[in-house]
Amino acid sequence: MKNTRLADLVMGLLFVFLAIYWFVEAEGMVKADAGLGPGDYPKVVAAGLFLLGLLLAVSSLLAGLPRKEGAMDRKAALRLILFVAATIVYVQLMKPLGFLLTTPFYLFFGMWFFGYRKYAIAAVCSVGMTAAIHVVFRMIFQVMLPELRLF
Amino acid sequence: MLEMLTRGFVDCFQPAVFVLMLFGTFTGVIIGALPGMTGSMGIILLLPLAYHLEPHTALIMLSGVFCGSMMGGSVAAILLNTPGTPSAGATMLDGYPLCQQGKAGKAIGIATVASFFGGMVSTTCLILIAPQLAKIALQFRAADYFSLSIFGLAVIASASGKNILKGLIAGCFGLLVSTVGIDVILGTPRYTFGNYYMMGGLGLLPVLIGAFAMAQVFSEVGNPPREADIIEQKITGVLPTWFEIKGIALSMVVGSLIGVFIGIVPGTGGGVACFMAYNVMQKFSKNGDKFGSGALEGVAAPESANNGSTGGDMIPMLTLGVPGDSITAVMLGALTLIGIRPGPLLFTETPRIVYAIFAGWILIQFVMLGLGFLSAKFAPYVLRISPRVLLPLVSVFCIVGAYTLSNSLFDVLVAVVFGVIGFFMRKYGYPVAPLVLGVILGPMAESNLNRAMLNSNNDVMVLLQRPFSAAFLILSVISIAVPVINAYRAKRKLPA
Repeated sequence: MKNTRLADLVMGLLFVFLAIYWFVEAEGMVKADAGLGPGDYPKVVAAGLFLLGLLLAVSSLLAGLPRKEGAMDRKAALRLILFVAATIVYVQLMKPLGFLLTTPFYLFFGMWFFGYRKYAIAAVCSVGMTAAIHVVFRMIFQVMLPELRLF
Repeated sequence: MLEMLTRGFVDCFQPAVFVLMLFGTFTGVIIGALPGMTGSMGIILLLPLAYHLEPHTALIMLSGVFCGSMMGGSVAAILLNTPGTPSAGATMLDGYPLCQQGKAGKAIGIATVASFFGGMVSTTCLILIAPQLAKIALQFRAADYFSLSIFGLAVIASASGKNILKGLIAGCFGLLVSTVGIDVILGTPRYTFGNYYMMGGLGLLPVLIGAFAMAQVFSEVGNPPREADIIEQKITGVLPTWFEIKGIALSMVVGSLIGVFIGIVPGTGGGVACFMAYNVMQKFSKNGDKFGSGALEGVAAPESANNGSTGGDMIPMLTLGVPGDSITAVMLGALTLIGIRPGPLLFTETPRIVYAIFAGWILIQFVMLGLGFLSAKFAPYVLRISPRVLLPLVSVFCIVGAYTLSNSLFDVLVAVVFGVIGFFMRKYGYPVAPLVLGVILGPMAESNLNRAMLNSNNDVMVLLQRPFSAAFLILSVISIAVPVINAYRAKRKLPA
């Protein structure tokens, strides 16, 4: 059942559950004597999201036959998961290994992943662009990018 | 006013400000010219730099990106038959036929002159209208500001997507995200899951970077981009003749006025303005039958309209703090990060910044004029940059940009998470602009609602008793109801 209507139903229900969670959490917060307490505004917003999510779920159920467009194919989904995972690994490795050591590999991987096959140019670009970004952010903006620390 | 404007020019001619204005406009033209890259993304990518600058310098640089991207979009539309930005969609209709006839230079020249003209008209309107609107807005109280936030969200939710329900959900989700962290009233931690990093809430910069820029990279992952067709044509004859300028004068005037009007109306922007101006001129021009086959007026009208909308877009954003479209929503986020709260108080408390922006906008139009003519020389080289190299680089810029906010890898992870959220939102037709606006306006809405409740002994009717507040709430209902009714009517007209 790959279709946008199913996606609308799933998303609608997801928003409904999120809103319920937000509301229940807000109920447990301190109450204010005057004005708004910390939980009052989130409750108003959660109530709005609940109604809108419910409307989306119900309208997707009433909409009739499913449509095929908008479905995400398996290959595209796998590629997305792989790229996001690579990005998270890169971010996690940046802390112990540093920006300078990890970024060229991530850039080279990214270029290969997006279909760039001139490997020599990709390698030079990866190293060159990493150095350029490091110089701009470290030297000009004084941003302490993560560095490799042996001790 | 003139004295303040002169002071603004003096500020703009400070070497650092001027150089960054040139840099911003140049970056805007390049980003606009690259298909798939938008002005919003350009502003986001420069935010880490803006963060380290004086407020007026940062604002002028980002304004340069905004205006430059509008003009840059036309270059790709003319040379590649692909609009660099949605605002150049109509430019393609006559720009590309001109390119096929070997007149790419002429088309770029006309687009540049028209962009300059539209930009100047809109800047004049910005300077004349914004201070007056700010004077009215000075009378707003807490209840009015709360209702204004609702109005801003309702308008952008109704205008930024095909499905208004999804727009409203996106806005509501943004408001929900804004409640994470220590609350603004009593200092109670909310939805932090005991995580120290979430105490301060989810940073606006990581959310912006994730939802707009990283989501764009992720959305290219499924279908790797193809290389652009290389332009072999020698581009000459960029400077238009006096006779040609006379021929497009009416199109420029009509296009600019349409652009300004469309820009001021919240929820619309250059994308709507360019097609409206094109259609109007096609109907009323004596050369209307030549539109679509390489008419110079067909390039001038949309280009003056999309640049005409830029100043108009800025009017509600600067005076009320309510953006009209996604790019001004990003601009609003940028201002908030720099430490500027747009609204009427900006005009009374920091007029120097306001007039520096006005002066900057005038200068940007001249810079754009020069860069536009030069772009005919450098654009073909820019368009050769492979998106397969560019996308990983954008990804790294996003990561570094998110990191610079507080030197924290947690912010980077927030950006990645919002990149994934933004990807799915695009995929399933949820507009991203209301999400970002919800995150920006959430704290403002909450603190003003609290103040209104305190002042009225928790009487909710105060929202309807104040005229401005009631007007904003009624306008919110109208802005939601009109698209719903229109969609219903269109559905009924469709044959069974």
